[in-house]
Amino acid sequence: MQLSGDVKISVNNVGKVFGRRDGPVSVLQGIDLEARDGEFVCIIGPSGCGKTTLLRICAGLERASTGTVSLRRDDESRPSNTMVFQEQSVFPWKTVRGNIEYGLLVRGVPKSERRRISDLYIEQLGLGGFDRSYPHQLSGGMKQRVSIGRAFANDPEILLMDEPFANLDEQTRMVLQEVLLGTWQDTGKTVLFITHSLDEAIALGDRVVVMSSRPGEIKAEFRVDLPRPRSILSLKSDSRFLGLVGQLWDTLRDEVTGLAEVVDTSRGGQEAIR
Amino acid sequence: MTPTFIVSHGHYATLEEALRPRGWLRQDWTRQAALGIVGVGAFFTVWSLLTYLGLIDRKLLPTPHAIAVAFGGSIGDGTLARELGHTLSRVLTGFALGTSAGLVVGFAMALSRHAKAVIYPVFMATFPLPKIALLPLSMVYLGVGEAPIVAVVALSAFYLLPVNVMAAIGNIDKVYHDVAQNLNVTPSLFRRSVAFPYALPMVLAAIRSAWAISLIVVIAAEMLVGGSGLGFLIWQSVQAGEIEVMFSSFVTIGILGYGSHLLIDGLTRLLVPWQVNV
Amino acid sequence: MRSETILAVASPLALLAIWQGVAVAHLIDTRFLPPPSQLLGELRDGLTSGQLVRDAAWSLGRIAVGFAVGATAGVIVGALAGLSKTFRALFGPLFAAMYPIPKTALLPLLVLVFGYSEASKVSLIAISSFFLVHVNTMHGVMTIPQVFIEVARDCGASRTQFIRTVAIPGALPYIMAGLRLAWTVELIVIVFVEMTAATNGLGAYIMASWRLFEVDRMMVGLLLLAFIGLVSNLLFDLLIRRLIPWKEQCS
Repeated sequence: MQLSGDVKISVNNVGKVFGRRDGPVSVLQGIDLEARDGEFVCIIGPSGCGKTTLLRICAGLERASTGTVSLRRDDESRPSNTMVFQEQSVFPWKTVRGNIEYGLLVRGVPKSERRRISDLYIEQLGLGGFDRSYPHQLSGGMKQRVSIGRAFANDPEILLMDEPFANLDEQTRMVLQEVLLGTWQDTGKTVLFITHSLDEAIALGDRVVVMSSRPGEIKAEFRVDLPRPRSILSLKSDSRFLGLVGQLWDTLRDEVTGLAEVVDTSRGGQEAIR
Repeated sequence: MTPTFIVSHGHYATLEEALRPRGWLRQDWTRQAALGIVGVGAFFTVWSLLTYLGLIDRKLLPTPHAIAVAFGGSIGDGTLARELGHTLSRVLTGFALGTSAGLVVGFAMALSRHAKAVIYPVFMATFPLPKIALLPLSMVYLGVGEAPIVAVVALSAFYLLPVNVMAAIGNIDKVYHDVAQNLNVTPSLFRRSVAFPYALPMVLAAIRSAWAISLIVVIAAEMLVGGSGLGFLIWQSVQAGEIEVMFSSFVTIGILGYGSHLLIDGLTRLLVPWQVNV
Repeated sequence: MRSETILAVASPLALLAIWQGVAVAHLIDTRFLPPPSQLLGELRDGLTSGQLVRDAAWSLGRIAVGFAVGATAGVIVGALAGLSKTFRALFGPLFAAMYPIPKTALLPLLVLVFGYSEASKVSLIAISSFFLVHVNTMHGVMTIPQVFIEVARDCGASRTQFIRTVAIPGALPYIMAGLRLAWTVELIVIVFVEMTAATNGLGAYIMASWRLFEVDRMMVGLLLLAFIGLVSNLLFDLLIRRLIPWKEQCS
């Protein structure tokens, strides 16, 4: 399959049906999505809309029932895509450094080079002094930094992120959002970022894709033309930012109000109400 | 540089998925059952070939047929039922005495610091001794008969419980204590409504281990003391050159072991319905 | 000092003192219950004559050889079973049928096959430890969280890399627990084997003392056995802390 122009990720008519005991359940339906090289795309939607499944299909961890996902590869010496999992994915039996170097180890990168790269990300993610700690000695936020470091050190062309900051407290989340933006700015990777927080989607993304509740379909797309580089803290009081959050909430509300439980679990929704 | 493309179909989420074959065998349970039958079938085929073709001395490994006949015979003449009865009465008595004493001592040590201070040092000093070694000493004290076997089984079962009970109670999250205090729950209500149910899964796991050890020990003790029981039957049949009887005793013990594990599983599900099945 | 500490020190001392007191005052028959002082003397004699040390060495040697063989096989086969559904489906029913048989029942068969040689004793230890280690290793591999498997796949780990970096360390806590359990059970098995079918080793020592009605020697044998059990437990604790530094140690 050929991708036109600078399209990096192309999702064509992807659907997913899970076989359940009480019959098949359709979680994704007719998803079409493109991301340009170096673009930061956020995907947002109510709980259970299949956004995680979509990301997992892109990562090759699950198969689509219909349609295809094409990823363009420009540099054979780097991995095409790497997933940032939530913090419980950090290997408990490896130290912070061991975790960050994991992708490099698997690819057979020599030790001195591994060390150079892990040093860089340990420094950048504020993990200095913890390189020999094991995850059980770290807080949730620190573990999430390790998980991000593992993906960044692997240096893929595409980063796939599944609600990486969902379980963190507000301050830690803002710090890590800044770190993520900084690193992304330096490396120019293409990012697909799943979130259920409206603030986060707009603060980070070039574009926000809104999905509907099950079966997940793409309902709307927003272009976020806030200037870069962005500062997460000053954005919070930026009127254009708040306007966009309001617009996004209006679009999402119809999806959410149908499912009362979703409003409760979606932190993004509550923030927008306030 | 010309870009290349990855069309995402390639990976699998688990190694097992990658190993899953296509076609009619795709249905998981069909495949499992088919492979299970193949495994058991291969076992019996090899066994039959070895014995019927005389590749192995039938005095060491009888044919499946001979074992089936011996099994039927020892059921028919009542030997098996008699010896099984002896073994069961010993192991059940010892196990019941040992586990109930273990529960009492365990909860006493877990809930009272003074009881722990008195019992724990002696308990831990005697804990590492393999209790079967006490069989001769119990024969000195209790005479030769049922009592020393029951005593050794009881001791073996006993020692597994207190450690687990204490660990379970010690693991109770501080938040439960806080909730109880906040609601002015009395100590006895706390024990009944929090401590006991909290400890239950681990206690049941300890009871399962205690039962497995009890079976190991009762067979060993019967071989050492002699006279009656499945352990004795096994020795006697070897000495009498009736090795088929020994193998049919293995089948009996296997069924006993398997059946009791199923029973404990069922009991666990019944008593701990809130626990996720492992 | 807290009352618990006083009790914890006083209770075993009091027990020993009462034991010694009633024996010295001839309130009990010392042939049945020799006083601690007599046991100490017997222990010293046994150690200086070398008899106890030799017997302990025989027991430990048999366990060590049987355990090494059985545990190694148990880890390998258990890992295979944990990694492969096919393996489990093929051999699972056979293992399930053999697992619940108390392995002490196999001694007469092994004696029949190998005679009263070392092979019959060591092989019983090996078989018994194999099953315990096998089950624990399999369980350990199977309960590795799915997300760790996905991380390895996502990073493009090969099958060998997966086994080395995820399966083995992930299952290690269970493997170590299985080894520890197997060692405890093997202490029971070796005593039984030596009581039944050996002329040396601590089990035989205890049995011989019983036949001669020498309760003090018997108790010294028990003392040494308990000591071996205690030391091996401590060694396992140490080994587990060294091999699994990533686990929080709960006291």
